[in-house]
Amino acid sequence: MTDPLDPRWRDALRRHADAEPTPEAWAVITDRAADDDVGSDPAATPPGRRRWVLATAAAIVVLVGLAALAVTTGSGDEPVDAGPAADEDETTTTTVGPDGLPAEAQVWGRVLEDADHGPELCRETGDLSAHVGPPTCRGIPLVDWDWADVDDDHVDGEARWGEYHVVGIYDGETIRVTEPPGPPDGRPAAPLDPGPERYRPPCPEPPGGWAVIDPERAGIDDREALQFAARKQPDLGLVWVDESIPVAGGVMTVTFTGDLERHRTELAAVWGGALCVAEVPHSAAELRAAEDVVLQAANADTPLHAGDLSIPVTGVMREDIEQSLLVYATWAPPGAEEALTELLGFPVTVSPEIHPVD
Amino acid sequence: MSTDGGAGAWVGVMMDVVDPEAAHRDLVESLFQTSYGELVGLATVVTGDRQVGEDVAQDAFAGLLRRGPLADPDAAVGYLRRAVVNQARGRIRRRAVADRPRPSPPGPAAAPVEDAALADDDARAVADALALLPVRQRECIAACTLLGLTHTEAARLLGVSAGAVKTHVHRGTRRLATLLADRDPRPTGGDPS
Repeated sequence: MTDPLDPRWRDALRRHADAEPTPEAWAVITDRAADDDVGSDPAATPPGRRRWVLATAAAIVVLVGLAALAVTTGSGDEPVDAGPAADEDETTTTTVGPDGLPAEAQVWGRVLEDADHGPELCRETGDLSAHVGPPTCRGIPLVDWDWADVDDDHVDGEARWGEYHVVGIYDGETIRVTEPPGPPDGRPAAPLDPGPERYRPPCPEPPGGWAVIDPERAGIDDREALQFAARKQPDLGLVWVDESIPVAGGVMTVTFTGDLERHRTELAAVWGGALCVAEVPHSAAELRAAEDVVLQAANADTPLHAGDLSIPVTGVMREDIEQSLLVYATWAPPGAEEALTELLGFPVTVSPEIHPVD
Repeated sequence: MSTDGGAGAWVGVMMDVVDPEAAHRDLVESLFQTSYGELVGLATVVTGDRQVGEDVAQDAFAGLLRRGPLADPDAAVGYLRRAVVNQARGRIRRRAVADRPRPSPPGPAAAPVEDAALADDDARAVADALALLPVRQRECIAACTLLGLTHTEAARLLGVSAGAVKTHVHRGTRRLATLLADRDPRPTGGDPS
């Protein structure tokens, strides 16, 4: 292969991506590995030396706007030939097949065919940047797809794509198209984004409004000190700030699973700005452990077993403030949300990729 | 593992005293020392974000630790790489489908990430140029250039054909070279050494 990249840039690429295996990174890893006790009693959680590191990591994650983890399994990357089930039963009319699989399925989204693969429903968005050229993505292979059935497609070189509502027979790996594709109307609404209101401090506003108590201790360094103090607590839920409230430094909210008076006193000793200390049912570590249960299944390309259901999960998004989980799945059997909520110990919303035909 | 009674018990105990969980942890810790850097690199290049890259790599190691011993310990590196690719894609996907405005975070988390790696002008230029490539090209460049995988090995890791890997690496590096040449005041083409 001819590699046109200059050695200078190749070295720079390596420097850009270089990382040292530091003891701190290993501590985070072992903490995350240890936090697999889903739904455990917070009081029973041992306040290990490294536990706060995990809480710290979780808090930073939300503060930098990366509140969620989500994975795709990549299992649909390679086009898969239609199996026997897809070839033989064109008359299937049940909306829910064995194990809850939506035998007749509908999906809304982009269909793309290019030099790498045949028509596929985009699951994994390839283009996030301002790159010039046709889109790239991979997803569920479509059998019996015919571009002649659509007239609003785009073509760029070997790539052809468009946005459609696709109906067909889903066999667990491919969708055999059974109806002419339509425009992507009627797409189920995405889970509601709580919006900026979610960052409002959960404490009642003090008489006279939010105010700085001690301006000498309300600077950036003091905010860091507040975060550092909070992260040392094993029962930390989350630290966040609402800067939309007109008070210097914003209103810092810190949540814990209990012992609020002690926490408030300790935090007020280092932070002189507006402060809300509130209670949450679970620690950040517990939420992350629940998230990991989904991630483990998604990474292993195995369904997540919840109650009597097998749910083909593909990813998860953690809502740190609400302490809930948005679970992505290829499809969701009836009762999936209830079963996952029971299993994980946190409110779960399931966002399926494939929907049964009503 | 033999710990049963009889004449061979002592031999078995002496030889097989290794706790499989402890051995697994030792294996993961050893892999952490040898592979953490490359896995962070892989995730960083794919996601375009160093912090996310570190987080993804740490999640992968934590997942392997939690999973327990593998039937084939030699498969551990592959497991880690696969986990990193999956999670990195997931982070990207999530950003794509739910790019929400967030209030400014406080303190150090609010500040731009001043990675030591990015303090290097060339490294920063490469990071900026990588951000302009499609994700698939970034994946293939990371797999082949950073991990040193062959096209076939990269194809297995990324779930695409070897031909596609070759195409993406070629197009991606060509595009990178163009982007970097456009912004580079110094002549390129020579080995810096």
